[in-house]
Amino acid sequence: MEKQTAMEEKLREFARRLAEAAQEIFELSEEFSQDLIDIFYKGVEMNLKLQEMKGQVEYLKEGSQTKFVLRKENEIIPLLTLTDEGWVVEKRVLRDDEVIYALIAALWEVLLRRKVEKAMIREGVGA
Amino acid sequence: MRELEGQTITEKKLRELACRMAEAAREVLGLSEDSLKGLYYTLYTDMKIKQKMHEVERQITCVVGRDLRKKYIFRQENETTPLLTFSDEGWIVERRVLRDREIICALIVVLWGILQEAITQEEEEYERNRHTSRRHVK
Repeated sequence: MEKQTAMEEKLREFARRLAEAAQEIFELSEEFSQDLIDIFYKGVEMNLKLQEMKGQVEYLKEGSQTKFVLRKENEIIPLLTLTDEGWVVEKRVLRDDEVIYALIAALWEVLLRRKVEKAMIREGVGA
Repeated sequence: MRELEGQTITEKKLRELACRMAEAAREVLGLSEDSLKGLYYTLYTDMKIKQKMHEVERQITCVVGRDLRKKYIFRQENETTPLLTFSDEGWIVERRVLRDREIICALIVVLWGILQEAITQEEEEYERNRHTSRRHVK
């Protein structure tokens, strides 16, 4: 419990610093200060959860199949599969927050990979 | 030309913010010097994607259907694409084939929004319960 509070305090301080930096760099008005801190704090909290989920999301390439799955203790939940048409979301219904976080993590990874691939092509790496 | 200048300024500002974020992470969260450069690049790329998501956000509308169910819709030029609909089972993914970067961004924005809403509701409920229990103590 104490550990949790200490972490929470650190995250609040981190959010305060981020808000301060954003205010300075983008010349934002001081009246939004508290709102900005709250937004950053919520963002940091959600990003931490996302990072946690990223550890459980795996990118698998088996033969001609490329997919993202969520690996839980005794279960593997398919999230995304690459087809000729594009990426297909495997779950039709999203029932819990955990799967939503995992799906965001997988989609984010798709965007990141695309960005890296593009940058590599641009710089002639691997050509 | 002016648009390009504006883009360069924003890019510079984003780089600076990423730098300050990495610095704050080192000082407040105690991250090592080694992981700092990697963190800076991750933060910068994240912000670039978020910038794209911010653009896409304007094209998303939340509507309430005749059945009083919330539905998120993505508008692209002359096309309207339903993304998610709320149901008794949970959120139904209406568009399961994601063909381009824009639609992927749009889906992330909507999913992120749903989680944010859930957290806000939880916080409000927590606050309400706290006040109620305080009244009981008195």
